[in-house]
Amino acid sequence: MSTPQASSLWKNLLPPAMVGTDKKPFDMPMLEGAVGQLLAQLQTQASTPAQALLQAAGVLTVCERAGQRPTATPNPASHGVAPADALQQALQDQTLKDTLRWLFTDAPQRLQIDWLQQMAAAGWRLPATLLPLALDTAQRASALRPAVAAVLGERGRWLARHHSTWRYAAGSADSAPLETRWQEGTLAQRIQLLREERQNHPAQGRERLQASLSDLPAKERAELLAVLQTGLSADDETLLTTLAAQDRSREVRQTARTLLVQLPESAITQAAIARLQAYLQASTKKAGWTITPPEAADSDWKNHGIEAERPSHERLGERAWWLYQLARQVPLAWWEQHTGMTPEALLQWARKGDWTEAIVRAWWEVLRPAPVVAWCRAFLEHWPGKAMQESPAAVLALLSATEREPYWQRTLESIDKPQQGTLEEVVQQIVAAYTPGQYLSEPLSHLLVSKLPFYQPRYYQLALADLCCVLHHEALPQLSALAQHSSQHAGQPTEALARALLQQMPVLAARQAIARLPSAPSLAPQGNP
Amino acid sequence: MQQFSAESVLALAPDAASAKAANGLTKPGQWPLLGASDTAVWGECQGSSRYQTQVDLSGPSFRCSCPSRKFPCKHGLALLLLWAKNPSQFQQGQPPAWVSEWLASRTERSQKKEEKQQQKAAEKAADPNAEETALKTAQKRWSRIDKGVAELQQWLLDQVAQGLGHLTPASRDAWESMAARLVDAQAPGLAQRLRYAAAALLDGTQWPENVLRRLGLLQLACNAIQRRDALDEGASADLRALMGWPIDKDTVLAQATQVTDQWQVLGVIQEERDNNLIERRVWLHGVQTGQRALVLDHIFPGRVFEQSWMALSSVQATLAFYPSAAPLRALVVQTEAITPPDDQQPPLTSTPAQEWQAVAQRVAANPWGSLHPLRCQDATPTYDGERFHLHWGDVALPLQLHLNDGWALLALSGGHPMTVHGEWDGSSLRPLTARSPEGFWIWSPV
Repeated sequence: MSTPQASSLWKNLLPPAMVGTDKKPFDMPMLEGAVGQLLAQLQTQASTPAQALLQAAGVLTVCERAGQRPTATPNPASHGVAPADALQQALQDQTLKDTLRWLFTDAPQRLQIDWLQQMAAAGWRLPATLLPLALDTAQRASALRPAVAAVLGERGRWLARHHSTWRYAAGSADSAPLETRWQEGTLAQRIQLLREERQNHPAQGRERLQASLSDLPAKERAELLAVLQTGLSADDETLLTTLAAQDRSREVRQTARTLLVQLPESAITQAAIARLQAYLQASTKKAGWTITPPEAADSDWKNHGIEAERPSHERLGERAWWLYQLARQVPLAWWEQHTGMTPEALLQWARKGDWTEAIVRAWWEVLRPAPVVAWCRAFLEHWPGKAMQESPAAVLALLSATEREPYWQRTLESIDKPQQGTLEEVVQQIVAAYTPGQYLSEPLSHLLVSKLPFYQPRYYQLALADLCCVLHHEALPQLSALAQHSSQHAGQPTEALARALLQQMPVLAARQAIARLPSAPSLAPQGNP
Repeated sequence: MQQFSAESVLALAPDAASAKAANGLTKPGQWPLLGASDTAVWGECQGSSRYQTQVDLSGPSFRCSCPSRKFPCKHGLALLLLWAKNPSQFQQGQPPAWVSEWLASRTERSQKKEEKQQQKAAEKAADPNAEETALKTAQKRWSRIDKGVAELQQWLLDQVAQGLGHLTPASRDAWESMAARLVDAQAPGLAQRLRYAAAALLDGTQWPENVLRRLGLLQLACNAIQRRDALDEGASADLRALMGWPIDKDTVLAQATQVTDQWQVLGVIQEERDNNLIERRVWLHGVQTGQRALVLDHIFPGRVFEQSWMALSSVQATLAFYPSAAPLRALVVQTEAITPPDDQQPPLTSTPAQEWQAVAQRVAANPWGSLHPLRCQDATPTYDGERFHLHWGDVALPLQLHLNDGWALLALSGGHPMTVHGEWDGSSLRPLTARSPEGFWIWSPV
């Protein structure tokens, strides 16, 4: 049977149907086979042309429905087939999948990151059905992206290439050769790659970055340059000096200088020391030093990364602005050597003087990328108050757990009656100091949980969700006991705490689940080049 | 004991908001009481007030003391979710009175239904005039329909004789009044078809073909009704269904051939219809018989479907098929064991040629059927930057779905072939379930 295009058959029917069979004669389409015979029969039996046309339309429609298949061929999929995962296995356990779904929709971000990191470490990737949700969630929360990227697997990266808002995750396969990952990877992937290389072969990493600099946009140059912090040494001085003086981007020049401060012998840093020294005099008073910021801007400054013009939003006054810029180019150790003062003494000295904010801010900026314990302690003991835009939590975050925990322990131990402010503050500081995946020590966790009932009823003020993520695993049962116990004592002051804690039970359950997560069964060995 | 996965429980939710709300109710402490027996789970949910929630696992069927009009309500879903996630938190034992009474009443109700049916049949047999009365009623209806159809035939001829090109947006009113006369003539099904044709008027560049197609099928309906005495039983039944003349469920159960099989639930979809009714279509595939079935139910919002279906599970059940030249719609006579979707499912194979052949045969036997179940094995979804298609055999089916579902299908496949089940309407496929080595996907309301 011949099968003419359906559209050509309708061409026979449409003109008379549109104009009206009263005005335009209708000729039955000629077809071979059974359908043709049926149509011919209709032609002879129909009482009017209108009826013949309607019946033909009916017959053709039924034939279409029975036999017609879509003929349009869409553009072939441009992204091919997702490669098999050589490194990670998809999480299959149904309960864990449900936990993951909850994690992406309702969990605190800290828990999301911690969970996904542990999942990646155990060799698991996300199950396919959760990939769109994961990509959407991380698209809205960029802090989540590195953790999500680590569990996407090949399937997830393949999917991300289909949708423009997921491009951030497309990257190149983890199994791809290093050069490909460097050329085609996402910024996060390249930062990771460079950091790893700097740990083992700092010179090789620096050369890799240097070779790519001219191709990169300013923002990426700055972020990648900051990675040189890892494995920083005098060998990096030449590159940093060039960038500090010549790069087109102010952000890059500033990043280079932040790194150079950490190389006290570098020419640029020596020059900076000489510049600042001129404004710092030993006063006649016993063990006193006086700092006198410049009276006028120096025309030479702009070659040394110092801006004469104060930005309009700047809190500092003009002279303080200059002083701050001069001071942030100078290493902290120089202050100790030059003045003979300890960090603690220096902090006290700065607090008493007229230029507190300019000096303290400069110190803080030098301290943050390369923390020195004595300076951190000095900041905490002699907190410069409003001169610091950060809170003590930022300083505590620079210390190792063993160095910072005694600080909170003292505070917590002093709590012996119902109160609000201090506990809130300690919890806030702890939450700010620990990055996702780090936990409070077991003794401090127990201490903190034991003090929670002293908290007076503003429970919504406590960052309970984050606290549940940061407490040591062993303290969690104590916390759930607190929730369960108090629910049986309605009307007591601890009831509100219990209610608030009950809301956090899913967080605790998710932590139990990740703690028990087994390692993924290993796949066929296939080395990562 | 019946075990479900959280995903399959959430697929029972009437909408996304209910699913989300149910998830929020699964925290420990919100359920001071959780109990389970071999056939049911129950619990008390403590919110602003305390509700008693219970699920008969054989359905699953839900009941809750809350005032929600959603069904199942968030409490019922949450209870089943908790059961799915961790049955060990349920206290095993005898159900309390409020549960056992409900379970008993459910058994009683189904017994009563059976008794009533038998009674009806007995009455029918006892009443010598019953058959005569029924015949008279039918004759009366037929004479009304004949009048209405004669009018429709003349109206159709007039439209084509005068030309569709003269139609304006205002013509819709005239079409609507013709449709209303068909309702008066007790042929609401034909009225619905005519309204469907009217909806295509002046809509898009292809509207003349589309309108002509729909009028052509109405013409065939007129011809079929005129020569109904010559039609066999199946075709007559299809004609009655086309006119919207429902067959009594009892009649179906009494007359129809019953098929017992292990039925795989290819897909479940719930949609609100124009008249505010909620329609649910459940597509089944008989593992042994290879037969396809559609269990079609309607409820008013806030009312309850008698039975819940879990997509991709398989159910040992007996179905009674409505009489038709291409039997598809069926009633459930009895269900037994359910195998949830995560468990091993019976292996099925079908080729595109077989599937299309089944569609063609069904259309040939009953030209007015509109939706067909398709089982697309070895099919690959693709996205070309604008639309999703399903590459299957030598064709690419346009997919009718929400963007998020498209991404889910794409993720599940990763460009590799997988199995997709859906509804084929003649021009596009609406996917309802999919399965690949990476897992499965189930249609859910947005």
